[in-house]
Amino acid sequence: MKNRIKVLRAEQSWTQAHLAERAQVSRQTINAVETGKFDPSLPLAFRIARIFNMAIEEIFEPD
Amino acid sequence: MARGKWIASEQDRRSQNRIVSWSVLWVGVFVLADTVIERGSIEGDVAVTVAAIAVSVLGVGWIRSYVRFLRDADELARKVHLDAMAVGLGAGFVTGFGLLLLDQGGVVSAGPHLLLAAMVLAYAVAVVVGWRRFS
Repeated sequence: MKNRIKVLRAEQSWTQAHLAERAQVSRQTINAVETGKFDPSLPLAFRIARIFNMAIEEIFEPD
Repeated sequence: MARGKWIASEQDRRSQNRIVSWSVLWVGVFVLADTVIERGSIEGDVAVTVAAIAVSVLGVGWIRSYVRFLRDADELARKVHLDAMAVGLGAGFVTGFGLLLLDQGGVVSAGPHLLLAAMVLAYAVAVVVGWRRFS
């Protein structure tokens, strides 16, 4: 699954650790999601979308 | 913090420490019971059964700590460990049936130790490989 997390995070000048803390997961998880190595669970995808005040489909899209 | 949510730091470490403690305790008691039974230090069906039950009861504690660890774990960590469990279980089946054939053919007569070692080794390697894959 592709995503725009890295771009959105950069716009906010947030580190992976900061986003991880807000999303209540490890930094490794954010890194793996960002790089497309790991597809987040639906609850995590919702949390990330809520953090950026966006809809899930504005952040994630299928390959 | 709510359980099962914030997992990457302090809670994760506590869960890991708990499971390591349980693992060391269970393995220690298992090895002790195995040694004592093998040397014949305890005799009689009742004594041996009591030792086996004690090891099993501690094993239940170990299983519970592991289930708790998985439930509380960060979702990536959970995936890595579940994948590793699948590899460990598969290694157990493959090694077990392989040993069974070798045993039936009289080539080698291996006890459960080799099987357990294969499962643990496969699990450990799969955890390391899993973390590398996602990092």
